[in-house]
Amino acid sequence: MSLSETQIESIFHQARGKNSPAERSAFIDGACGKDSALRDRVIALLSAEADASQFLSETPLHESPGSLIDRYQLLQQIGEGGFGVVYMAEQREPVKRKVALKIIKLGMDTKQVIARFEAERQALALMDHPNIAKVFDAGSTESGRPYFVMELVKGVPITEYCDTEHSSTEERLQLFVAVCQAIQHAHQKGIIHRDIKPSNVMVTLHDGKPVPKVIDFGIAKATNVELTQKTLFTEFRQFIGTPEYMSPEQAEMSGLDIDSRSDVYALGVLLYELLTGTTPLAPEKLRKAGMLEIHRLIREAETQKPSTRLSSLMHAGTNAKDSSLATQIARSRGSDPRALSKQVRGDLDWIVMKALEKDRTRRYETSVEFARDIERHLQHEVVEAGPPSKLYRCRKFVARNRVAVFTGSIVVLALIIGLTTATFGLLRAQDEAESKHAVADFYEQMFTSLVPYRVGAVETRREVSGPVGYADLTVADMLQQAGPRIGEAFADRPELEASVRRTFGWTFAGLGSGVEAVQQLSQALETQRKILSAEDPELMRTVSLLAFAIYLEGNPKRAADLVRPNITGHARYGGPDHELALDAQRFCANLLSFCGELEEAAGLAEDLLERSQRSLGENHPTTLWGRYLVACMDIAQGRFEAGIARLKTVRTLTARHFPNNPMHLLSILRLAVGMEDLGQYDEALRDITATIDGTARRFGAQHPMLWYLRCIAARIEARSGDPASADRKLQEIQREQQGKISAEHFMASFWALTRTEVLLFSGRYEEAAELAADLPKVLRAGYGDRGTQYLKGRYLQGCAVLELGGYAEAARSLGAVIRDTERLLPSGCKEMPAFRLAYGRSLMGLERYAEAETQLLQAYESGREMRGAEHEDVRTCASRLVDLYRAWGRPEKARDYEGR
Amino acid sequence: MDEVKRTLSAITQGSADPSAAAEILPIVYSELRSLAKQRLAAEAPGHTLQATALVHEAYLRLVGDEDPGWEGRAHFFGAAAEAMRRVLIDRARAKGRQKRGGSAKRVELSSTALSLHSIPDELLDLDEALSKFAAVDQVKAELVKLRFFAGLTLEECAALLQISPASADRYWAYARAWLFDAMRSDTR
Repeated sequence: MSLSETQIESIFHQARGKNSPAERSAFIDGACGKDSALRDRVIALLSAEADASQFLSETPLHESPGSLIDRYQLLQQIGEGGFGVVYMAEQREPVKRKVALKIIKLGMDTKQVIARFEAERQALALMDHPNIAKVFDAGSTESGRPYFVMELVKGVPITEYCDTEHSSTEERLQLFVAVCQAIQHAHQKGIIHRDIKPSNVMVTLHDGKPVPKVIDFGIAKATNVELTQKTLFTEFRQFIGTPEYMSPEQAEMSGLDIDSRSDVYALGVLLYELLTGTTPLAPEKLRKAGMLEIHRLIREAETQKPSTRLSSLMHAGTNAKDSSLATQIARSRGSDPRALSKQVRGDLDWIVMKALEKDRTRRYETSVEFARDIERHLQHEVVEAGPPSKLYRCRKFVARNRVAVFTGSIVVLALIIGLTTATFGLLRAQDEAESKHAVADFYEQMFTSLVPYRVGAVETRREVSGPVGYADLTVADMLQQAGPRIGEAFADRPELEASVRRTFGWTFAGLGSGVEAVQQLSQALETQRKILSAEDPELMRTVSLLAFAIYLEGNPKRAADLVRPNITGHARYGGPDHELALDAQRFCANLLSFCGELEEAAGLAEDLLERSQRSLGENHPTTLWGRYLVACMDIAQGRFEAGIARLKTVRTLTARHFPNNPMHLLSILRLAVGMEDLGQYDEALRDITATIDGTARRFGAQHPMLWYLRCIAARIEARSGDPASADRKLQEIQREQQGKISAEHFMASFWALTRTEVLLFSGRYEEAAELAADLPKVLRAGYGDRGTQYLKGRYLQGCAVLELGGYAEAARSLGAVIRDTERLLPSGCKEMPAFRLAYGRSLMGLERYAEAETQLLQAYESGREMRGAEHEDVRTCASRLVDLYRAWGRPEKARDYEGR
Repeated sequence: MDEVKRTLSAITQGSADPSAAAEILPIVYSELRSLAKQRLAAEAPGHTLQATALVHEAYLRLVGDEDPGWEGRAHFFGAAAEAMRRVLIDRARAKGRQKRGGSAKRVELSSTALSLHSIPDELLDLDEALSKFAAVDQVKAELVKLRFFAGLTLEECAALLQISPASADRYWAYARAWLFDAMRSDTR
């Protein structure tokens, strides 16, 4: 099959000389005869020649100013780019006017380009919008290149205009909205631009006002080469000269239809550039990248939020070029980098990011929606875009209703933050948007109905009548008035009703309105129980919030019982070491330790410490909580040395890692109590004072916890020898508590407990007995009847009776205390020696010496084990034993305890 | 630099064999390469650096205003075409081939678009085809090199190759068809 190159060439040239295809074909047939290989080769070369019009050729641009292209005379070149050249030209007929004439560069099938243009011509003719440059005509030049004739726009690219004019962000947004509206107009006529970029969005001045003009409509489509697998890299590069603005679906090359959302994407890039001076994908990076890499970048590269881009430019730190770039970008927006980044953060970030979603179904459907969102932002309204926001919607309300905020000031803001934070955390993704609206509407109504009319000046406030006067309007009022409307507002949306109630409840709790908090949270829980399983995490969250509210309302016991199932619930839902399970366990253990239910609390605390050490690590706050709780149990069960050592570790670690965690103050409090118990009153007083100061500083002087702490401080003072001062302080606390909390509130019962103790120290037994009469009852209400608090209440009641000489009654009740304590707290408690001492004394009074001896000996031994032989209480116990043996007539035994 | 001038004038005056033109190749090559490097470094975004423009710049630097005569100029561009080809192919090889799918390829190379950014694949394909073509028809392949890599006109090429302009025209048509066919039917 060796063909003669000379023969081939000769036939090739002769065939080329033939005028018609028929003639040519006949010639080849004749010349090649039966040599089909020769024939095929010649035909292949001839076809190659026909197709290779541009191949290897020099093709200078024939057109130049002065040239006449059809009925247009070229005047001057006004632009040049990857696509080709733009001339200002004069149209001669039918009307004489100046136009822009764009000659597309070589390499395209001109016929196809023009055919595609013709196909869209009618649609293009329908476009009539002040911000769109009309496309009049298309044709082919003598050199065979396609050209387009457009309305002449004398302007500069929008980005250039804005930078030269130092347009502010707001001005830029306003221009941009007009661009979106123009694009929308085109979309409505069925025209997709496909190539929106700054150089296609020009700004011209009309009467000194900037008017954007979108140019090149229809051209991208006409010149668009299908980006399919078959397409060569060259075409990709040549015809899509600006991958920065290309949407992922355009880069996809999957043949996916390009629709209006691709334009929305490109608009997003344009807005990004207007705001930050940069495009999401850096052109330098794209230029260096290969085709596949470009595709990958467009499809996959994570887009930096505009504000992040701005601050990263600003904080480029060592890179002086970048940071000066940031300054320059900000300056051309009449701002400074920091302010600019702040301005863009939030709404504008979200709006841009929504437009730049890789998945087009998540973008704005249309450019007009995009524009509307920007307008909303400009008017401080809630924008469509955005993450499931925390503070967001209500911040908007604040911006729009400055008066209302002025009224409620910081408290309102705090409320609003609380509201949205709590509510939006629990919406499920599926109907999040819809729900957000429903909830936002409700809040808005709640606010606006309470604001009779907008008031500009302070004076007017007094004239406002209505349910609540402006000046008196508090957050609690707002919530109380809106609360009853929740049920009605969300009648058919129980999940939203529950979430809003939960928000209300939580906010009430934060405001210290415990009753309302418990009421709303209970209703939320009730509703959720109807629609959710008991171990649904949302329901469990409501349970823990309700438990916390109930605790704040004064009932740690009920709170503990309520939250206890959450431990297993969360564990089942998220695994045994799930953080929420551990947290529920922490909360429950803490509540139980508060009530003095030591057995269960200690078990939970030890388990918590072990699990959290394993799954969360040593320095995790939950692990520290575990340590703290184990330490508390050590002390509560009388292992003072171990407990104090552990608490000191917790105090050190929290001071280092979590100085603001309440655990830090609590560890100091527990240390103070431990020291007090060991008789080191000075240290105890110093620590408790520090805790009080810290709490007041961190949580405000009105925090209810302060009552508790001050009670303890008073008790220490009384023990250290100044019961009179202690009692004055306790009376002060009582005055403060009056009317604020119920008698069953654990703060009230703890106060009663403490005062009884102090009265006994002072020898004011009758008063103590009187106060102690109700003590077990009130203690049981808040702390339950299974813990040390309740038992201690009964013990103090017995003590008062004992001191007043009621031995029989005292022995009966104290005996019961001992039995109950042994039964409920078999691992012991630090109060037990005191209980036994009192019981023993009452038995002594009844001359039941043998029984008394048992109790006193046990009190002495266990007390010495816990606190050491030198401890005041232990020595008291020893002297009681001496008394006993003397009274019993066994002085030889008495001697064993003399001087101890 | 002067060596280039001397060699060219020696050829023009007949005191040196035309094959002496090969001696200036390394000089032209290194000149083109360093020019290309400089220009690429200073290049403004969006601007393309034309290969033939580089050749002309090299000519001005190496030969200068003094006209070495028609023959001398022709020899220079003969060397320059080869040198430019090597520069481009070196760059293309350094960038590496892109993997391309599809069967029939479309070829878009044109000398106005030929730049240092030209697509490696196409350049490498062209170079391959050109080597094969040189084995079949040395003169026509040389013509292609002169036109394509050095930017000479058909008349200039005809003079250098000592053929008639009409032949040059025909050679060019055939060479283009041959190469185009070779490149597009290359289905590797």
